[in-house]
This record gives sequence, C-alpha cells and structure tokens, in this order.
Amino acid sequence: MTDAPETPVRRVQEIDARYVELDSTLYTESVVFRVCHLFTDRCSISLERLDGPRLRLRFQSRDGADPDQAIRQFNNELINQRVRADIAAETQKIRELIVAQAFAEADVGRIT
Amino acid sequence: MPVTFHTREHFAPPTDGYGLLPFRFLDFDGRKFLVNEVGEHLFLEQATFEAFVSHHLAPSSSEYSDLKSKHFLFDSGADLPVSLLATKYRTKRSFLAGFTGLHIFVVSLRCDHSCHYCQVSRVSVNRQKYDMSEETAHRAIDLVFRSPANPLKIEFQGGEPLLNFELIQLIVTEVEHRAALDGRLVEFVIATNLAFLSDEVLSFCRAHEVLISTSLDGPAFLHNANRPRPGNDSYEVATRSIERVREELGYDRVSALMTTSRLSLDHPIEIVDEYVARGFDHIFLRPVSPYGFALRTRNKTGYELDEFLSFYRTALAYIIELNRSGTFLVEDYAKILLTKILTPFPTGYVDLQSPAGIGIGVAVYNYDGDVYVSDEARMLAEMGDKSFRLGNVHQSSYEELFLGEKLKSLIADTVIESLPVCADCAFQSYCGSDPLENFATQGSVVGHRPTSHFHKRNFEIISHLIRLYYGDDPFLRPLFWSWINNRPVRDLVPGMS
Repeated sequence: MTDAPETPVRRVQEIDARYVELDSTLYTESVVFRVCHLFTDRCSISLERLDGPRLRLRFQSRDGADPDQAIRQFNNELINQRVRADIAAETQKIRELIVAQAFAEADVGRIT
Repeated sequence: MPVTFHTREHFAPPTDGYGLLPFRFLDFDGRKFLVNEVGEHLFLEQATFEAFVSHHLAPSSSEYSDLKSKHFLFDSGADLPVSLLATKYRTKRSFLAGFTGLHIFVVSLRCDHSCHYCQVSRVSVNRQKYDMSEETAHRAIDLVFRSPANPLKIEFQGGEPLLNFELIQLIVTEVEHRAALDGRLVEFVIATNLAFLSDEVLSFCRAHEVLISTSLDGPAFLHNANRPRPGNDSYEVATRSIERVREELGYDRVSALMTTSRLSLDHPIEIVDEYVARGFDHIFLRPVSPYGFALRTRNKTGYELDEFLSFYRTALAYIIELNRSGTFLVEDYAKILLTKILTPFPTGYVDLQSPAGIGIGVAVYNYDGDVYVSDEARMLAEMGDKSFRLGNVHQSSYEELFLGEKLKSLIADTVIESLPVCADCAFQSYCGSDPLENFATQGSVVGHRPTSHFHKRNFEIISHLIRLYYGDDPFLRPLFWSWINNRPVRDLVPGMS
C-alpha cells in the first residue's frame, strides 16, 4: 500500500482515498477485477496500469467504511481469489466431465 | 472356495500424489469451509488447507481421508469418481426435468382485504372486470397441458380467488378431466383469506381434494393490523375458518403462511406461539417482498435487512427451544436450506434454485390472460412494469411463451454458476437467484451481489444454520434431520424430545 501523492490540491480532493499497487504477474486481471467487484459495496475503486506489470488501484471508501480495514480485507481476498483461480484451472476438465455426464444421462421427460 | 483378500500393501496410502476435484471455499470463523460441486462440505484449518491445495497433504492424515471420502481429492487408490459425482449433480438438478410444474391462475383481482404489504393492487369487490373469464381460463388450461411436467400443480390466487369460485369449479373440473385422459397427476391449492369460505366451497374442496393455503401473521392484534378488512376481524375470520376446514376436510388440508411486517419484528415469540396455539407444526418466517403495495407503504411494512435477520434468529432460537421441550415445529425456510446443505436432493422451492424457477418452474396466468414468469412478476406488472410478461393466452402460442427468446434470456441471467460473486461462492449449491428481487431493488435481472439484500439474507441464514449444526449443542443435529425428514426427533432418536 502506498500513500496518496504529495500534492496539496489532490490531497484535499481525495480525502480518505487510498492507493494500492499490485504486481499483475502475481494476480491476473480476472482475479483483480473479481475482488474489486466484491468490494464495490464499501469502496469506489478505479484502476490504472503503471509501467511494466504493475497496477495501481485507488480506493475511495463509501458510507463511512474504514478504508484501511477495507484494504486489509482486500489484500486477503486477493489471495483467496488467486487460490480459487488456481483450483478452477486445475479442476476445470473434471468439472466439465461431471456436468457433461450428468446431463447426457438425464431423463428429460416428455416434450410435446 | 477360499475368499481372496487384497494384500496389505493394496490399502496403503498412495505415494504418487493426488489430484484436486472441483470445489469452492470461503473463510468461515477462522477456518476454511469447503464445498464441492455437489454440495458436500467440510472445514479445514488454515494450515491444512494450504497443504491440501498445494498438494502437500500427508496421505496418512485424517483430513486426507475425509477429503477423499467426500470427493475433494482423488488418487491412484481409487477410480476417478466422475460417474458418482455426475449422478449426485444430476439429482441436485432433477427439478429441471419437471418443466413448469406449478401453474397459478389469478381468477380475480378483487379482494375484501387491504393489506399493507399486499403484492398486487386490490380493487373493490364489485368490479367484475377484474375477474378471469371462462374463455381465458380455457386458453390457459390448454397451455398447462402443453407443459411436460407430471405431476401438475394448479394454484388459485387473487385478489381473493373465492370471489370467483364459479371459475375455480370450472377449471378444476376441466383440468381433472384432461389429466385423466392424459395420464397426469394433478394437485389443486386455493390461496385464500378464508373470508368467503362456505359450505359449497368446502363440499367442492372435499370432493376434488383441493388443499387450502391461508395467511396467519400472528396473534389478533398483529394479524388484524397487517390485514385490514371491514370489521377489522380478519384474524377471527381466518382462525375460525381454519378450524372449519380441518373439521370438514381433514387436519392437514389447510396450511398457513406469515409475512413479516415492520410490526412483526417486535413480536417473534408471539408469532411462533400463535402457530403452536393454532395447532400448526410448520411455520415459514418470510420477509416482505419488495413489490406492489409493500413498496408504496414502505413506512408501514419496510425494514432494514439486519432487523429481519435479528427477528429470524430470535424466532428460530425460540422454535428450537420449543422442539427441545417436546413441541414439534418446523421452520420451513431452515428446512429448505438444510435439505440443500445436508442432502443431495432438490427441494422444489422455485425461489432458491439455479437457474431460477421463473417460467420453467412456475407460470402465472393473470385475470386478463397475460402470462408472467412468476407471481412476483405480475406484482411488478400491477405497478406498471411488464418486463416479465411473456405474452397473453389469447395471442401467444406455447412455443412463443415458454420456448421463446425472452424466457431463455431471462433464465440465462439466473444461472448462478456464471453470475458475478455467486460463481466463486462456496454456498453456491445451497443458494439460488431471484431475478425479480434483483430487478425490483437493483434495476437489473443479474443484480449487484455486494449490495444485494437477497444475497446477504441467504448468506447470513446459511452461515447461521451451519454454525448451529456444527456447534456445541448436541440436540441440533438430530433436530435438523428431523425437520428434513418431517418427523419429530423422538421418531429418529428414541429418548430425545
């Protein structure tokens, strides 16, 4: 996590804003966007791509939500979401097999 | 002939690693809660979870055996369980085969009550133009019999459906005749406030095995406040009529539903006591729906989600204590969720499935012939929004109504396996989608899960039930299984209440 840029005007306009930088080689865009979506109830989040593989996320908390707590939760959820993505990738073929077999053997009843 | 056993080495833990089977997880009270593709679940400590997903879990550990037996991993010691998981997956989704089993006929919009939370616009009892015509009923019956479902369920709603009892008689008689010719089973339900119950109605219901569903919101002061009618005696009429139905048709031929109003929030114990006093062994703690007059009279009926959750937990705790002391009483929403959490079987509850039951589980034929995807859809229509109208029985074919692009598109937006947040949620196989609530409260069928009341309500109630089931109270596991099996605990565990 980094602090807001040291410009007086920006500091006034962006009170309670927080910035997080991420390495997109650790977290894919899909993972980052899924976690961002999950936090849209308590934060307004915008993303920008920096040089190289780094992403910068700007958090503006909503309705009195604690921005620092939100960012701590966000960081933990990033790890969960990365693990979910890994599990989904590893098990995708088996899942497709299960679903395909389930519906292939289904009795769809009468169609008139 | 000698019996041949495998050698000891055959049963030794495999040493060539293991593979993961599909599952989802979430953080749950300091541990990980894992749920596989067919709803089987377990808890793991954080360190064990990390070892498991990184393929470092020792095959000799007890967690390894649990994960293997509940189909979270596979190894060379057994065949890949695709067929077994496919069978369970198909069982959980067997509701899909019964395409449109519930058909609701709104035979009249007229009603003598003016309930604050009523989900349709009510009109004066004298305005005949709000009754369904015979011609519309016949067209709707034709559509019912195009549905492949067997059995079929026909439900009469309103307004107050008994204000158009002549049409109910016509529909029941015609449907029975066609069902016999077509080899279908059929069940009839009248959802009524019972104010117009008569000997004629009871006689007909007895002859045609028609079930009665009514409303009971709680004790007199609460019920009458929620459900005003001339004379302010809705409670007295309803409770007197419930007894009459029981005497004439049989004790279990009448059921009751309650709706939680703002006033209800302060009286969870009194509401539960009323159901016990009236001899019911089921109660369904339902939040008010965000449609119809419930939106227009928000000050009287509306409340925050946290207030409802507090009400629900208090009432559920009291129901548990009643059961502990020997009174069998089932909370129906908990029963639905527990069935989804603890068994491979679907529940038939169309408001909590994926894809949603709109159109494919239930269809509504309104008094004017318009066809809607659910009862809530016609409530929205009465507010002026016909987004969920499929067509009209006089102008649309079965193919246009039920196999058309409109319904397909709506259904596609309710498959929670592909909805944001739901796609990754560990509770996915226990939950469902409510496109109407999403649309009414958030402006889109897909909805926005992080701010959705439907999402939070179900997430919190599912979490609460899991905590209770896996908590320290030894009474709760047999109790919850007794609810799933619809039998008192003493029938399942001799010696218990």
